[in-house]
Amino acid sequence: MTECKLFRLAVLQTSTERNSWEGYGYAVMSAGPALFGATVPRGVKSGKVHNQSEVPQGKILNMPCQYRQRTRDLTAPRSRPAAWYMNLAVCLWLASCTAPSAESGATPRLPTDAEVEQYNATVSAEERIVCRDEVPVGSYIPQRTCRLVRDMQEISRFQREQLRNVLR
Amino acid sequence: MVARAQSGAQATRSKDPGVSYQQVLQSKEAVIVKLPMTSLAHGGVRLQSLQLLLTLSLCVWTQQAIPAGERDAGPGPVVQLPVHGGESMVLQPPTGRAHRAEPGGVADNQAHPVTTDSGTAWNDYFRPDRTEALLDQGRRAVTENRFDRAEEFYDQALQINRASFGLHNPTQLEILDLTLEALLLQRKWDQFAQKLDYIDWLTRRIYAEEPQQLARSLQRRSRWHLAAAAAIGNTQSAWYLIRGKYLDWQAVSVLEQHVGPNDVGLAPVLYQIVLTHFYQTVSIERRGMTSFDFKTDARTVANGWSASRSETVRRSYRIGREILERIRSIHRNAPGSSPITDALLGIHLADWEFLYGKGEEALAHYRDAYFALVRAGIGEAEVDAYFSQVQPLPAARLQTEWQAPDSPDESNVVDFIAWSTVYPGAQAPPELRRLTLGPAENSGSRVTAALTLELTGESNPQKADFDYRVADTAILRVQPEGQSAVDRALAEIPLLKFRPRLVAGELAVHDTVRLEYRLAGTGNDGM
Repeated sequence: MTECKLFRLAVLQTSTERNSWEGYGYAVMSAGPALFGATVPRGVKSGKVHNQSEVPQGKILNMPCQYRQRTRDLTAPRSRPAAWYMNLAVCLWLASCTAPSAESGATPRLPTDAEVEQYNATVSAEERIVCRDEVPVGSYIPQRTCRLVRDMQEISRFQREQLRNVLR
Repeated sequence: MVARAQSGAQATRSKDPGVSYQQVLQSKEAVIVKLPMTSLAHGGVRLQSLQLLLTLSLCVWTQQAIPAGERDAGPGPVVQLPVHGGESMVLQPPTGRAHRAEPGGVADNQAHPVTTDSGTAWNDYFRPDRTEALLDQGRRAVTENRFDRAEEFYDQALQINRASFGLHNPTQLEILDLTLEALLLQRKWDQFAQKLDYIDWLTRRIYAEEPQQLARSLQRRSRWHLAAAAAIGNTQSAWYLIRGKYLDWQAVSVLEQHVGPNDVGLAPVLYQIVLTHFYQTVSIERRGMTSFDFKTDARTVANGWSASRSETVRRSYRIGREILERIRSIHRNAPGSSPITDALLGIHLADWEFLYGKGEEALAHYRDAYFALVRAGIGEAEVDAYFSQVQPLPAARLQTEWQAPDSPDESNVVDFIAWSTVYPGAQAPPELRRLTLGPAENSGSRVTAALTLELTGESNPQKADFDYRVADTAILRVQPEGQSAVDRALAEIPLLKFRPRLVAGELAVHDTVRLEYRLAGTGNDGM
């Protein structure tokens, strides 16, 4: 599990008498940015919180990890919580997306900045490579992307032509 | 059919009684077409017609035979004729330049003009003994700020050199360096770029089989690009800087193919690239120049690609760190490596981190290096003395061997030659100091100042993100006196970065530092 600064606490039920968290279930959603915003299925009971803060039922709160650790100590369940299995499954799923296949062997390493610069110094301007960290659509995790300057120019030209055709 | 003589132009009948036709034919360096003896019996008029016809046909053949790239690569209107053994001759067109009489017998040392049939004056470029005299006159003209005359002297010396020793002789490179200096001082950027292109073509040809020499010549050209990048008023300053860096990379590639990627000889070239990245950062950070020029040496703009200033600076930081780690790894794996060398290279890495504001990483590297030196057998007092020297950053040279530190009296005195107003806070590279200081090295402004350095941010034990900077500048003396020099010094000196002092492995503050600061030229005084 990645280290986090905040985690999400979903209050599933509240006490009818005291309207507090104490003795009621929560689900921890701190596996990573991809899980933030996910819907916690009602009925997932992964532990109990001994906290006197009063919150309405169904509210999702952002709380510091440090606090989470403390509450965990207080409410350590005897069996693994369901969220633990859920996070494990998500991690395995994510890992399966990035793991290299058996045929491809080791993960191809993208060149470092110095290697790119050395390569660029020995080739013509069109053959040069531009590498940079880009944030793809649908994610906040930057990815290192390398492109040929020639390809960038061709794509740019193609897009200009397409735009011209549309506007014609 | 082909024999060696002086030049095609001079091989025609000369009216100069001092140069006979036989002397021309017996000379060794150039080549003309020599007619068979049977042709000589048909009279002078027919002989001249045949010569003319042959010369013209030779010229036409030459234009077809020489590859376009090679034909166009030479400077100016020089036509090259290929002959035996890969050598070639030069047909130098008449310049039409009148030779002015120089005071002090300068004209006597110029190439002697020879008058041809057409009445055109040709310089006598076949007196190699005059080369040195011409070079001396050129140097003297530079010191007297007569750069155009210096350029003429160097040009004549170059022609003599090429006529005497061949077109592809490496000795002309020294003359070309002097010519580049004269062009740089005159800010003749077109001719400067043309000469650099010629040197590129020449060195790749003559050093095609000598990678070490080729790498050296690439580095030499890189220095000239750096010099041009620092010149005030050069609108292509950034292009020259990046191009110089790329030439250093090319030198690295050439050396890697020859000696392998882990040879210790790569380290100085790699360190030069690190320094160039620092200059690049200084320009970008302090002048806000983030144009396309700072990202490539290409003449054309790549569509759809732009990088922000911070991204460019971060990339420079990453590349510099990677190179310094590579240098350290190279030395670590070299035979006879020592922990002292490793520690010294760790200090360079720490300097780099410190320059880019990574105080925590820098302090960790400094401390590691400090204790590694102590463990390697150097006394703690000596290591303290080493870290008590005031060292402007980045260090101009890569230090791989331990040198005894200065005495305490000298450790707080530092000489700093500012390189250029284009790169404020950067020290002039040692090989460019003569150009930086200008022809008359005593010219320019000197400022003596007392600096108070302060340590900030180190009190937070959780995050040792410290800074070590100039807190106060007291101007003690200015030569020559003037308020503008004082103002400039007060603006530039706080930009300097010094290596933090360490005592017993902990950060400490220097006592008052005495700084001898040489201001960079402003463009009106040489550089």
